[in-house]
Amino acid sequence: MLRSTFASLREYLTPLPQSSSFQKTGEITPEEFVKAGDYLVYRFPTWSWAPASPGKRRDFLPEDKQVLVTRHVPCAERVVEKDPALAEVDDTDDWVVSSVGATETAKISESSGSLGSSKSSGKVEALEVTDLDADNIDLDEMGISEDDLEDFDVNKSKERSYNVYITYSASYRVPRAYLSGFDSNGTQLPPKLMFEDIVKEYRDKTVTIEQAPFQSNLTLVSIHPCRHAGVMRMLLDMADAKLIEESRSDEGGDDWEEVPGGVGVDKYLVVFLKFIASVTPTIQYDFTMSAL
Amino acid sequence: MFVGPKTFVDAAFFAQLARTKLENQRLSTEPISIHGDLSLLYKPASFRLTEDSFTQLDKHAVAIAHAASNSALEFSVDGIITNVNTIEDFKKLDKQGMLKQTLTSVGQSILNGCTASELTSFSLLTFADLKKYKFYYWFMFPQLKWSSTMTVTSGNDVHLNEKIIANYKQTNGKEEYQARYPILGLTKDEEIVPIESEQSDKYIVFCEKERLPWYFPNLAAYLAINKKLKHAEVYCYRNNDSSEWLDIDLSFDEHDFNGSGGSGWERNAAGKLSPKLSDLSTLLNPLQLAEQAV
Repeated sequence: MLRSTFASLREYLTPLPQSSSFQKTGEITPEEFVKAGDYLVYRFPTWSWAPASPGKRRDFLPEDKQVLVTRHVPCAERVVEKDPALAEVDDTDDWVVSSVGATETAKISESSGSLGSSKSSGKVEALEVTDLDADNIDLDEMGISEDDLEDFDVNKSKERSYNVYITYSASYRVPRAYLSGFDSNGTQLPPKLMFEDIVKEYRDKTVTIEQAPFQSNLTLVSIHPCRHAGVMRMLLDMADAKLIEESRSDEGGDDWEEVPGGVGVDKYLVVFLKFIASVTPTIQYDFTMSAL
Repeated sequence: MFVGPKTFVDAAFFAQLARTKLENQRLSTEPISIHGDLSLLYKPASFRLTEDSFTQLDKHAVAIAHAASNSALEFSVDGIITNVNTIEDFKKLDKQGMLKQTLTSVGQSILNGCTASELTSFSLLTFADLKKYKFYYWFMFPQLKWSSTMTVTSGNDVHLNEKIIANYKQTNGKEEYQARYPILGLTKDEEIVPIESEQSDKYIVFCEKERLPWYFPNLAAYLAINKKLKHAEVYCYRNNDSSEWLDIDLSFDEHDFNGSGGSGWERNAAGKLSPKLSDLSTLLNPLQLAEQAV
């Protein structure tokens, strides 16, 4: 907390010159984040800026530009169904253990002892959110016939949707993405079920359950930003290479000296989203533009 | 024919409901005013309840939220929540009666002269099982019975679209401009005004793609009963240039009108009339949260 406050204060007081470091380090400043966010919102109307809850506002971002959000992005199938190789769901009782950051597994193993298998299976049952019958609601009294009830049970739709938030991580100087999922009835999914939509490789390593920094009472899954800068630098290099390649073939290679310094910082978040999309391949983001 | 939106309820809304129940409401089941966010950008339209749904936001907060939003197709919609005390109450409550009562009150406000807020309202019935962190809920988007006829007269009106966008940009983020409802009036001079304005000559309704919203028949009743019109021109403003002008022949018998006919209970994902359940034990239960937060 103290460290991030300090980091943000430092950034606020001495922002890096624009576009100085992002091509070398993959990191961006809050100003660059806002610039890239404006571009994202401009190009993709599905994205918009949102303010933070009272008391959660961060001074280094404008009041009405605290977090980027896109809502109800459809997600028709689970990663495990799309490509079993991408995700083997470990549905044993100590699921929680296998799903949290690998470095912390040891710690969790100790505490998972308290979960006990009977308690865990109880939990799984409770997660059947669409199964109203489980809690003995008499649907007949709701004016619903037995036939409807059967239909209702069979018809469990797999159609989910996600709200995706992107905010600025002060400690890592990169954008950070958060996901909040809803089932087909529009009720919020617990993190455990949201993990089904994340590629196993990341689920095991860098995906964490977090309270939203920009809003109270919102539990989200987040891709931890510790390696974002490196990944982004790599992706930006690829995008740059592609850009240069294209302009060469366009111009016949004559004036490639005039090629601007590759992908501008305004497109940073578009590239970032491609990265997030690779972590959550079944969430159908809006990509109407090819940056990579 | 007229559809309600697809509903999404944030866990934070239920957390706020639990807090309100414990701290303010206690055993009272009096309805409380809330508001939700309607987005008509896509089909189906989406309707969200969030942490802020309980708060009467101050002008500044509303202005900031509006300034941040990206589209003229996003609105705030007013409603009430009735939170009952037991699951038995939730089950036994006369749903038909509740619908009828809600429709009658919409009808009453039309007779008494109302704003777009009453025409676009919603109602929510809940039971909060605070021990198990389970929330049972059922939305109602009351729509009066439709007995008028309408015809499409012309398609997308680029000139009017520009006016609507300009009006949106002009008022967006301004503190003095608070309410933003999906029904507006249009004067003879093509000025955009609230529907209750006496100068309104034609009307603008914001709609999702292809379909007409639940408040459309309510608007028709309002125009026939309150404005005493036999005929109205309504512009359905939509995303992606699919807007159109409709001619409506209004048919309401002023003497018989009490507004009690209609529909409104939300259907679930399987298309059935049924309540929904949100199990937030893993999201809200402090014990389980502690386990996850290692």
